[in-house]
Amino acid sequence: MEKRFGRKTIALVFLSIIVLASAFGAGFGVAQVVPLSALPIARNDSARLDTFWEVWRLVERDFLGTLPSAQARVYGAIHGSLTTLNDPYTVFVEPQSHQREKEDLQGSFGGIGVTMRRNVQGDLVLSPMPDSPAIRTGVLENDVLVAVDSKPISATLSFDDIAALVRGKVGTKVTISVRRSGSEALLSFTITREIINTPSVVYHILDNAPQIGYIALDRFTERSGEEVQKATQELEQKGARQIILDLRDNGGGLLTAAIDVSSQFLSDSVVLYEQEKGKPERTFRTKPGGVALDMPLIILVNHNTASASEIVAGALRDNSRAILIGDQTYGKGSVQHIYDLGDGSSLHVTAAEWFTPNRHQLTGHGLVPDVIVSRSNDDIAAGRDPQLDRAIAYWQGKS
Amino acid sequence: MDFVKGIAKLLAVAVLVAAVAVVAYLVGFGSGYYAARLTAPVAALQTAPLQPSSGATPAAPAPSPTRSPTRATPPAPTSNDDEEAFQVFWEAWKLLKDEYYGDLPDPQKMTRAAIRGVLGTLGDENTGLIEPEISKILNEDASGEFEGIGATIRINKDNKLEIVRPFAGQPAEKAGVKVGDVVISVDGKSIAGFSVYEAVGVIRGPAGTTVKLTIVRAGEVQPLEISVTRAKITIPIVQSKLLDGDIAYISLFDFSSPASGQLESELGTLLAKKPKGLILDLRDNPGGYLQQAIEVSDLFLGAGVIASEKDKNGNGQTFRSGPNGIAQDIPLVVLVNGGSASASEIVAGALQDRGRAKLIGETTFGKGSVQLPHTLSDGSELRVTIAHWFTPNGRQIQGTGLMPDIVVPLTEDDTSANRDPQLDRAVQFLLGK
Repeated sequence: MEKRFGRKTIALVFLSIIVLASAFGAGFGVAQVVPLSALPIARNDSARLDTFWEVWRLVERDFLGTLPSAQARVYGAIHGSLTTLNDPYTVFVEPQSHQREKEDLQGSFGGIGVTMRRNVQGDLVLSPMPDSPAIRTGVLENDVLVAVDSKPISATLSFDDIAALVRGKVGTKVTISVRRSGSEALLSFTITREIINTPSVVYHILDNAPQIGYIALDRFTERSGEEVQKATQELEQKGARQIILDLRDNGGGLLTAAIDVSSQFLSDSVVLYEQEKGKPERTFRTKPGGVALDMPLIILVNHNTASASEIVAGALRDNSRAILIGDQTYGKGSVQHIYDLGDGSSLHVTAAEWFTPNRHQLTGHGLVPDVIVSRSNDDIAAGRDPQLDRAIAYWQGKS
Repeated sequence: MDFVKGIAKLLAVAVLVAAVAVVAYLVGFGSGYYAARLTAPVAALQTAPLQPSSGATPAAPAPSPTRSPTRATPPAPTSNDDEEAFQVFWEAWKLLKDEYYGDLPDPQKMTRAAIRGVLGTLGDENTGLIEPEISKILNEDASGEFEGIGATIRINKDNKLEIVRPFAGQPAEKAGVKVGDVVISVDGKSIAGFSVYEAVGVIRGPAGTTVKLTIVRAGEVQPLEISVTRAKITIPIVQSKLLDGDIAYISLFDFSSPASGQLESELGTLLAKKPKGLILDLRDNPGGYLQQAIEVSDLFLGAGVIASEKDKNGNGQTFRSGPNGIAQDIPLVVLVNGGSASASEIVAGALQDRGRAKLIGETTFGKGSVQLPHTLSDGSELRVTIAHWFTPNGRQIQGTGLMPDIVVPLTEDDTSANRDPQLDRAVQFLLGK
């Protein structure tokens, strides 16, 4: 029964995103809802929970204060029991955050294409993206969002709360009310949601080195492989003969995306090995179709280069395909499986560890770059980038 | 259900002491006051973090042994809504069992953590789960006696177990244990890293048995081994003296089971000396049983209201004093401070509202809720905030505390110079100066 349950629910294997100093944990699972009926309660577990139910009912009966909803209390129970694992990557993600996490890792969501900020008065100021459904419907820069589907936008709503209202399935409609300076009445727009892409790459030819194409990847989404491929091709067309892949501050994302990105630069090679509890080791290899198998490649890394980023950096270095420049990486050698739970929440479970092609296990001691160069806070404040400079100089010195 | 509820109301309404106060109640294998860094009871009693400045969290006395603690109702099917909400817990639980790469902790540990998680959502630091081992110690302490060596201990700033005070004439003192001794092992086993409760757990034991303490003492090169024969220890909770000017002084340390009885007998002795006035010192008294607060108030009052309480449904009861209080006429001052909490505030509030006493000192803690303790099936204890209590004039003091009639601060300089301006002011007041 347990096995069947396990097989059924494994949707995809992801590596968690480490967002330092943030509770936001990891990747997302394919929406494979486990039917509630498939979850028989084992008798022995039930017995162990006797105490739990005693407390549950005593509190319901007697507690003086306002009782949170049953759901909120159950979520508390799950969060509470996970604390006993002492594993920061095994986490429970409540439905709204899970939805955001999914969208983040899909690299797209159903929305209207506006960015939001709060001004000093606490107003929610909109900025429509070019060619977005919002701008086509008539939303202007600096419109202030007042209501979404008749629900007023209060100063206490978080961006997540508001995003949850505005976003939705592609093809569905949302009505927003905005206040516009110079206009007495509120304006109302009914907008059909479309796919809004949130690219994970930024790329360009370096100003001071026109033969070098620079690609920065900030996370590993479903679309990252494709995006890196397109970026590489465009840069090559513009004259790039060398590529710098910037994985600094990239906390990871989908394991599959790490393989997709590695496969753009490497062929017919091992990317990583993965070991689950009590199962044979799995080998993940590159996929065919890479577009930059020979171009010289430098990967920039730092202390926040983690997880899926370390897979890419480790695979390309172990296969002698790239050199690493920067600071030692974060060191996260575990893999989380992410499950959609019945109510729209998700559970990230540390379910495996992984090894680089040369069988390095990174937990606790990341990858040491081939060339160690740091970037201080002063450098950042002054707009200096000694790590990037060193990468450029590396090739210039060689040529 | 109604029956249980009735019993719950009648029985063992314990008042949890303030969440944050200067001293902890009855920790250690001795009595009384424990002014030390103490983290264990925090974990036990609270779901919210302690304020770092507070030092210690007082633990509340457990239900009086003279009244059986409520036995939690046995598990029964919950409502469909609960079952539905709970499905996601089962999903998570099974996924962990099937998939988690590391070793899972003991299910009991996970269950208790789940309970703490639920309690954490209530946002009430006085509703909490107490582990069986700690519950046992708290219950003994609240009963006023235990079997052990008779000393107050603390975990000092070096994270070591230190003897704060061996009780006069009790086994520890008789065996040569001294103030400041650091205990490094018990019966040959290291206690490094133990919480104060864990340490108490291994040091206490049946009267007549022997425990071997390995002690590091300043000035001694080698650790000392001291064997102490355990005995039944009665925790001192009342202290009295006659001050100059014929003013009687009596201090109550807590509201454990023997509190009102001991106070009454001590008062009898004092009153026989015909003092001109009486000072009741409730400073740093973190509270205890509601019933003890009622009985203590009764000693000082004629017939009337002491306090009332109301539960979430607005149901409640009024606690009254009888006509026969033994100290209802003598001029009375109650000394209070920020460490006077809970049951102390019931007494002080009643005496203030009834015009029976002047309060002198500093604003009290402000703990206006009542907790009901339950012993759960696995031996742990649940304390649930079930009611607010009100003074005779209907004041609710949660978060605000009682304001003294005469405010007199006590500074650190006073303490280090061994001065007590609050007591001095009380004496002056009673002497009519």
